[in-house]
Amino acid sequence: MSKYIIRKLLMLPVVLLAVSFIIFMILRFIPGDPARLMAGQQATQQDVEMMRTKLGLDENIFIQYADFLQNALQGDLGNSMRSSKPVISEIKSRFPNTMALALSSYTIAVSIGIVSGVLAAVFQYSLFDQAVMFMAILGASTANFWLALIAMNFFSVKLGILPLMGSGSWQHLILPSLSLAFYPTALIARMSRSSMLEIIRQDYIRTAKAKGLGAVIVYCKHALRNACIPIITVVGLHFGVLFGGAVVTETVFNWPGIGRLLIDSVRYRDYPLIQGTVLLTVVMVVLVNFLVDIIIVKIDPRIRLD
Amino acid sequence: MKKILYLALSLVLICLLSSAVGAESLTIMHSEPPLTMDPSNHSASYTMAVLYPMYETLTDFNQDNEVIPLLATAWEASADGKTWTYQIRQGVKFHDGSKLDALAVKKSFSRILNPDNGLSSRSRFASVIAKIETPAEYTVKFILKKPYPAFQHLTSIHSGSIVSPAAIDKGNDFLARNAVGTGPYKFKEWKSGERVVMVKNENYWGKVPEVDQLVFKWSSEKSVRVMALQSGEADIIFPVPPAYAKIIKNTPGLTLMEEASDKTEWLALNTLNKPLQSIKVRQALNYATDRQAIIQSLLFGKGTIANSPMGPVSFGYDPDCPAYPYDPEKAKELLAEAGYADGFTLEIAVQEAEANIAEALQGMWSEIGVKVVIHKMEYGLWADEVFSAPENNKGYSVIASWAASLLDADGFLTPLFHTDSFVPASANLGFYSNPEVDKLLDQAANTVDQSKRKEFYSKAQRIIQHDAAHVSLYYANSLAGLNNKVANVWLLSDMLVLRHPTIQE
Repeated sequence: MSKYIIRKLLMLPVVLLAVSFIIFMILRFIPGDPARLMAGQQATQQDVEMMRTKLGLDENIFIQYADFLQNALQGDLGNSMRSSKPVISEIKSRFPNTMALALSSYTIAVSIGIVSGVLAAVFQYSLFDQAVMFMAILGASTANFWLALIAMNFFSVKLGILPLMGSGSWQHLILPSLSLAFYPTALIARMSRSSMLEIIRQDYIRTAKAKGLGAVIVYCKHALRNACIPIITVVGLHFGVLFGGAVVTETVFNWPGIGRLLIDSVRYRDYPLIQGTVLLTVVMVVLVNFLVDIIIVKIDPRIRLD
Repeated sequence: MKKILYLALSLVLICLLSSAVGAESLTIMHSEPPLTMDPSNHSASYTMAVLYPMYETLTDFNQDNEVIPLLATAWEASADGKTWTYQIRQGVKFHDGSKLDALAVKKSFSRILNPDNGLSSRSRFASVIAKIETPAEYTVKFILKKPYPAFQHLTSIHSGSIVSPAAIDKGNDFLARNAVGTGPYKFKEWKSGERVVMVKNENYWGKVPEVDQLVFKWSSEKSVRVMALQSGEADIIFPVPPAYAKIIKNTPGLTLMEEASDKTEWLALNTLNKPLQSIKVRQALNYATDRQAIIQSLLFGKGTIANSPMGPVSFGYDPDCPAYPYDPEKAKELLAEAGYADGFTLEIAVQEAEANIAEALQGMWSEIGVKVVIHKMEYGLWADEVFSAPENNKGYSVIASWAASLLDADGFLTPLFHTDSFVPASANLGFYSNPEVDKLLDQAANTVDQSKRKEFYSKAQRIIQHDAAHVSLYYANSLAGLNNKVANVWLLSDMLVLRHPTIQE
């Protein structure tokens, strides 16, 4: 186990180095000239050239990368081309917001998803089961921005009980985290149901029941523990997606998170900012996967990491 | 699980604590975030609107687009139009306490002119100003490279805002993140992705503002902006998408503000595409365009037909320049005369947001046998494509719009139609060239007599219109939505202007 942890941690810098190189090069080869985009449509060629020099884009691309790397190793990811703010401080100001949104919507998704999925499996073919599966299909197939707009119109404009958008209080978190939770809740509910169904038909569950154990102990302790391995894997994978991908929700609710930062920076080809946000997302995905591996080992002693 | 919950809870608390609103405050919601806090390093009208309450220029435009005094109390041009003398207002202090005088003005302009600073508005000033002198404590003399009759327009545009000399010493990065001007509002904070907050300047040289605080926010989602206005989370929204104009108009407590805009929507016909070298073909496309239908369907009627290649608010606009009527028969005749009776293929580069215009043209022009291929592009890609030099240019015709912050024909016709403005040098996107037009534009730019200039520009507009360099489409109205309690806010062309807003009960 400890060997595994050390190996994973040692891999992180290698992964980051590779990703930083790929991102750096891709950005410079995709069309779109930051100097032109910064200077604006009405700028003359002279303005654009001056901007290019100022942004250091006229240097050899490998020298640019070497510079970037050297600064990055000292904890300096450069300044945003657009706002001149340091990339690190831009990310720092956004990170807690993204974290808050991700965790709160995940708390909702995991708790509702697992509970309803497990109950649906236990009471298979009941009305409850059918209702849960209906909601799950709905949740998995509804565009969350559409849902968000409907919810905003109802709760903020019509009823006036929740803030429409922005951040600043826990009330601001309610609508975005609910709308963001919709899809993963559905996903987790379906996953929990199917993996639970598989488990509760196995012999050891029948044995446990035959021993006279109560239903709660049988399902929660004996069944769920085995059923939750695929669930945790899905939850973990999706968390990474969500972290870099809450773009739509963040845009609709004006939530100042990483996703919107990334989208805004792509529009203006703000290279340093794109690099910074992508690297952060990579770190988060690697860490979450790492965490998932460890949790699974903890739950299922049959699995060995070394 | 428990840990995660605690973490979530504490983060929520952090968010809660960081909130701060109070006093009498107005919230303005735009569609785009500000790009920078440096007035001289951008050309985005939404960024201008944010900086406008904090920065002031020597002269200003009033609601009728006339030049009026602001930080300068008076100004005059020498007879040859090459020396402009401005008297600077006395007793004005910058937000950081520095004094406004001739030296401060000189320093502010020198920052723009200095090529080492690499500011995006440099060339606009550097092509005109040769030298700045300060003969007295409150007198500034601009010595120009050539007579420049629209110079008082140049000192009125936002990029010529006067910046505190002490702030200039702190460097360009500082000015990109902070605003230190003389305006009625002082910069408080810019939280990226959230808001820009400014508070009233108690030491303002003019009337101290009534509203304590202005908060600028932004959302690219049209419906969200409208909901923000409806729910009271925003007091002013700009722009209002035309599709929602009616809703706002019909909501009690809300006002729809509508103003003619200088912003001209057009299709630049690219003469690298062989058929488009023929004037007749270009005219045919103009005749085959049902502009009124486009305005009705895409703008919900909130616009007017573009009768000229330039905007109607700018100086020099000729309201009598003849528009092309919708006449598909005539278009077919012209195409036949030009030898393209069977039509031809025309490729259009367009940004996603404006793709519906291209689709409308595609439908209309298919009736005269012209096949339109639409290349929908993301902004960065589009800019790469349309600003590429002739040797790399794919010959796409381009849908774009233009508004001259200078509010003068020189900022419109010269960059778009002068031969020297072929991309990438400037924005003549279709490589239109007519020596006669070049001559008229040069003459107008070197004449001080405004009525003569008007004549030159009028002639130039008519020639360009006859040559059909563009398919001029429409002038979309600027639309803003306001809560009824807000007063003293107006629209100047495509910018929301608020310096002294008031709240009425």
